[in-house]
Amino acid sequence: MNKYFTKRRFLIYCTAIFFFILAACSSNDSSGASEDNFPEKDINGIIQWGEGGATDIISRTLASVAEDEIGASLVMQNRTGATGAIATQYVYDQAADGYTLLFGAENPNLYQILDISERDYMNDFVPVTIIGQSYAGIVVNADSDFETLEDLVAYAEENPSNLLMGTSGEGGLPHVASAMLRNELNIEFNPIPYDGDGPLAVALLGNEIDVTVLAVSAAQEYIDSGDFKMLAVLNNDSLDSIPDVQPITEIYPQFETYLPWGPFQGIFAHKDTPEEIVQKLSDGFDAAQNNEAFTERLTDLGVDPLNLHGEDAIEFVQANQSTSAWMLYEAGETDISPEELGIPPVEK
Amino acid sequence: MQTLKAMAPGLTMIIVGLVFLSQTFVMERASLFDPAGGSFLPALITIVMIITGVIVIIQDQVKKKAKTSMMETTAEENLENEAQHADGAEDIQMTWKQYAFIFIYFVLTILYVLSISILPFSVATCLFLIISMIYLRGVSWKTNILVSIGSVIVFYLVFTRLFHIIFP
Amino acid sequence: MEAIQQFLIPFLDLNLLFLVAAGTFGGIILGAIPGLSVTLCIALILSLTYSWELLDALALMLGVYFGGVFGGSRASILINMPGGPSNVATSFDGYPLAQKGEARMALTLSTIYSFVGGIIGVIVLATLAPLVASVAINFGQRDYLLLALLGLLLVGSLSKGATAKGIFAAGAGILVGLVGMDTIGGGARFTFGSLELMSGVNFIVALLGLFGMSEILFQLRTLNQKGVASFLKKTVFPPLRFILKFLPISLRVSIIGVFVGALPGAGGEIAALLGYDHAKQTVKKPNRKFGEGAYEGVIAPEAANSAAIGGALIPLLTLGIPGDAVTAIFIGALFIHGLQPGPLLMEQSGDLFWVMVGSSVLANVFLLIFGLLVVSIFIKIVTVPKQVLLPIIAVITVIGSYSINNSITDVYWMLGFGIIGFIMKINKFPVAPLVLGIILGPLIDTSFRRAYMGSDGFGDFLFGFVNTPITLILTIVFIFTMLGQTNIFTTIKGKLKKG
Repeated sequence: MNKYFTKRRFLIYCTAIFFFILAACSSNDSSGASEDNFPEKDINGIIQWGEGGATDIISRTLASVAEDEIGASLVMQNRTGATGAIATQYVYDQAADGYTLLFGAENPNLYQILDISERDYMNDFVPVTIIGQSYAGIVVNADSDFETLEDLVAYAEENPSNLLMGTSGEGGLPHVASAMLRNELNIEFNPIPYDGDGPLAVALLGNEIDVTVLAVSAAQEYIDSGDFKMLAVLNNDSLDSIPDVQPITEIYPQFETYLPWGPFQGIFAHKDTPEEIVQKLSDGFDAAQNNEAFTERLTDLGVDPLNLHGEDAIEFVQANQSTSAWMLYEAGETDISPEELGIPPVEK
Repeated sequence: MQTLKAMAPGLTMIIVGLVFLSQTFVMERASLFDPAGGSFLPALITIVMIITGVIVIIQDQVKKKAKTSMMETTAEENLENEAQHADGAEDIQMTWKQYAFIFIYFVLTILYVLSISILPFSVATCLFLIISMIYLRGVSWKTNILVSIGSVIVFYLVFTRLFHIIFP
Repeated sequence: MEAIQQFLIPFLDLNLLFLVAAGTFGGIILGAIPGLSVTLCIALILSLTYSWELLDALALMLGVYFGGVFGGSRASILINMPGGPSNVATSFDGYPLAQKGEARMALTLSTIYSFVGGIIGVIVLATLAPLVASVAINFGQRDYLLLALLGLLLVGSLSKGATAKGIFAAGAGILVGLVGMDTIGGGARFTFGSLELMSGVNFIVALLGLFGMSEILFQLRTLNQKGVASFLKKTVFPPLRFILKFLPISLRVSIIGVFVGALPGAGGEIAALLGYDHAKQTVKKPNRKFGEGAYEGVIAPEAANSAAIGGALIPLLTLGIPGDAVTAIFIGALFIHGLQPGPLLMEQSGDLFWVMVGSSVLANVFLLIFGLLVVSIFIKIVTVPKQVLLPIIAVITVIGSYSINNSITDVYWMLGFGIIGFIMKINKFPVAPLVLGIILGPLIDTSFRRAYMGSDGFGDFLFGFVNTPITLILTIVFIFTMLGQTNIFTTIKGKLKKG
């Protein structure tokens, strides 16, 4: 019995040492992947937002088309949390070899200014492609007394901080949009945060909030069914999908400086990724986005297909960041100056 | 010493509560006195946790007193004891040998987790299973090897092939 | 008439029939593996079926959905490791039953009543969907708060006498549930400065650690004791009269399940907890005390979580709003296949509704058949010697926690929860309230704060609890349930007096 026990113990110690030795000489076996025959293995696509949201749907649909064009399987994965900062950090931490891509929305543009994370599209990533942009609209329940944006503004002026404005958290669409309204019209809302477009729509349907700002894509179905009214679309032109809704510039021309502005979806790689690889990926996704069925899906979702690459894409991201960051700063939503972060002001 | 040991669970509860409470003080963007803020509710909960800690200390003291003074148990106390007993039908008595046995197995699991970053997943898992079964004893070599290899194949098929889960 | 035709499509189309059957069977098996969540399975199917016909993909997904939620209870009963969040409540009485040699009875009863719950869910979906949806949509933040608090009252019964320790564990659970970025204020809570923690502690990781790993360590203590297998009761199929005895309670909890499932902010896990709670409150003479192997304690959560599936499909199909994480993937599936899930979905593609109802009925029928057929296979798990079983479960907990986010950090969290759970167990701290807190914590936090933000000071906040009919009813239910549990308060008071 005793002999058996020691023998067993010896075995355990041996294996423990074995594991430790292995741990000690953990080799970096990631042999430099050559750029010419990229891709050699599956590509991981990290989606910043959860299942069923616009970013998720767009990413997965595009991935299924792009697999053939790129010549590798795209393994898609949702990594949610901290308005996408978790996924952004994760992709940043992976090797800059183009095998891990970030499928993200506009949020990382505001991480620094809102002190959510140190990561940032402009400084830490290179855009592979900007897929599309959507627009935001100010919506109320169909039963609401507000028939026009002027009604809403007049009421808000008389009763500051009385209207319940549903938001989707720091840096979300309603947050930035209400900063925009405060800057130009000097009206205050009582913000109540929800977890995204879906829960916001539910809250508005149940009359839990008075007003919110939704992506046109998220609101469209409810407008068609007569559940919601859209008072204005945050754009300098009316949209094809909802031609009757006035653009906000028609009511308040001073908003012209900020627009066009809205949420976008794009694919990003670590900034140190070799240029050839980014180019290859870019070409692959370019071909995929020209797929007719895919553009049709995008339009169904209320998203404007953009298919931007290279310099155009960088310029687009920069413009979006400047608008949002300066708007929040001027509205007093943050103490961090965009200037210090090197974000250029919007050219007026 | 005896008293301290009897108070250990309650004290641990109070300490855990205090650690969490201290964290609620340093929360950013939250005001402790605004019910809608991020730290009001957590602070409230930590206070409740600390109170439960105090209650447990008192209960344990009462129990100890009852034990030491060997007082005749009144009907009321009988009821008390019953309630006390319901929480663990068997009193959990463990020897040091058992603790060591469990602790070593836990360390073995940690080593396994460390090893999957280095070894191929299937090799690490197979090794872990074989070693585990040797350690826990009572399994013949033949079953050991068969079960280990068989389960690794199943895990590989389900997780890697079907669910595309890539191990580091 | 047209509706009936569409309803019958899945029954008559061999292809769909096969897909539902395969989905249900696969769901039962995969769902039984702790850590392989139903959400993960359905997301996988979505990506495999881009190029399929929509109805084929949906048939497979529905099969996996019903099968997976049910399959999770196998692990709850047999190895005290819930296969998914919806099956946590099943382990409260399921595992004690298995320990007493009645594993076969627990498996059989839960199968039958999962089927009953599932069918009731589908019936409500087919007949009352618009009505339920309109009530669910008007469910306010206070109502969610009351619902969550109602669930939290279970702490009393889960603590098995050690009430103070139970409350402590529940509090700690709530705090663990709040770790991460505060979705309302934007600040970090209990993250100790780590970005990794900003996304919070994954619930399934905690579950795998607290139930899985800690159970393994705990069982190592009694490694050489004779296994349950030695006194496994060889009950044949229970007599029909015995089965029918539980029909009334299963109907009641199924109604609760459908409704909670239909709520956009609550899913199967809360449905199962409330179902269990309801059974505990209303069943006067269970065969054994709840928590020690009451049959109703297995039936109620399983009927409720199956019924919650039908419930979750209600807001999905009537309003385009997901009722839980799985139906969120269904929304993605509808979009990718060119449909617009929204309030107009029923009008624009009404056939889809009835085909989905038909597939759901079919999935439940297969669930009953397969569920009963594989009882004998599952039961073999308890006859496997612990020396073989425990290492395999250890591997499953490791891979399972890794696979949720492909993150090795999650595995260390799982191990951490494992050791905490083990320490709690040997010090007689109940573990279940901790899990309860983790489940309910975020809901309590957000609903309380949103309700408070939307009201004008504290007085107005309180007034809101008696303001609308739904809230008033829930407030009354809550107060009565709390008074029903006054034994908690009397014991505390009694103990305080003595101290």
